[in-house]
Amino acid sequence: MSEKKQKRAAAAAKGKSSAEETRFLRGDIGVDGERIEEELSEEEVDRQKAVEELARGRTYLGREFLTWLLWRTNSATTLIAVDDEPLTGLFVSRVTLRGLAGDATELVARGAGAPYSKIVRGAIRSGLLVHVGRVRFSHAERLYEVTLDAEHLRLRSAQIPKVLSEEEDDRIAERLYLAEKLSEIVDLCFRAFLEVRTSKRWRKDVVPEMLAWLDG
Amino acid sequence: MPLLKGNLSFARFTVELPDKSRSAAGGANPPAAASAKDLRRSVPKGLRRKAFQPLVVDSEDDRSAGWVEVENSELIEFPPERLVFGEHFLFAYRVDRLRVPSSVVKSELAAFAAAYEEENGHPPTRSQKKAQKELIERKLKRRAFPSRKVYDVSWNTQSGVLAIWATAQNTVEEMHLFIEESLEIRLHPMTPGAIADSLDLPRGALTPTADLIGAVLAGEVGGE
Repeated sequence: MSEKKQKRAAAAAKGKSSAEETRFLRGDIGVDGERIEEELSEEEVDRQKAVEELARGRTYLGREFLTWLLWRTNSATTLIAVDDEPLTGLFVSRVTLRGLAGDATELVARGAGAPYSKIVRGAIRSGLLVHVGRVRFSHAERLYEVTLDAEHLRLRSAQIPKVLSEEEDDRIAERLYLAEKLSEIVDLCFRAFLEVRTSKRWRKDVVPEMLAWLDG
Repeated sequence: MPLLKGNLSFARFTVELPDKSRSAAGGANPPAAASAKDLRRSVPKGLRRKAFQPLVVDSEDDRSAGWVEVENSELIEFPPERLVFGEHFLFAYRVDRLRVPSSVVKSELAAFAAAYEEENGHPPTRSQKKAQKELIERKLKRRAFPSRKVYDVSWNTQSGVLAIWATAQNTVEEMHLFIEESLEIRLHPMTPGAIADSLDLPRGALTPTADLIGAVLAGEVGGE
């Protein structure tokens, strides 16, 4: 090899090793020069996100609860008794489904009957569950409306019955009472769900009935 | 103020009292009345310690946050008649922020750079520009009017549930920590998982339902 060629080869080798060193320092490759982690495809990233979201604080429980509540409220019968008075519920306006169904990880449906529509039921059947929904509860001749999310079970944009007290302090007390009554209603529904969810009936009867409704 | 009017949005927490309050009230499960009496002394003290302080002109701070009274966000005394409503403690978290529009800073800085170059024959150095930017921001801050946000807190001492009347995740997290620090209590978010845990349900009874979320996801999440 001529001196010129030797110099060129040495320079190329030096350049290559310096580039490798940079990649090593960046953490892209290991000491053996092999790539540490394969780049994930977009679908794989979505799937990992869906798994992380479901596991975070056991969000899947909240989603199963809201989906169960959607199924229970479809029949317009009494959900539970609160203070010996029947409680009924109805999903209204917008519903957000999340999970993993093919390439879809989220579906938002709007419209008066959207939560119970065939398209929403089909999406739930494919693996997306209710993540956010707005529910109208009727209890003791009072109407409450609230948006619930599966991850935190926070009460958002809640509407409570009209406050009747006139004095400022009494108005605060009445609003607090009604807000806490709504909070209690949500908790009692969730506890009713947990009771069913931990019983043998859940897998044997309830889930098959829910699936039949979703297929219908 | 959502506690007083409008739609309601809140995040709920269960309150864990410190051992000190428990022992002062007589054991692990104190009678509610004794515990409430103890709290009526410690809560206003904690709120006053971390009360809201207005932003000071010429100071470096462009944000100030702290406790104020629920019915008047200018007051920070927390006397019982304005703090205790039946079985509730009601107070509020006020956040004032001074914001200087970045477009105004940018245009004033460009004018400075142009004038400097004309006078000296070369543009200002990076450090000169940085120093000038700080001067401009300080000058504009003096003219800015702080934005104010107030978030309510209600604590039902009977049920042991505290509500932060906000739902934005960063606001709730900030207030969660600030309440714990101010009142020396622990807050546990009432999430579906936390409620299920509090009920002492059989271990393994709440694994994901494969028929609903799909077998693959159920397997991955179940093995969390």
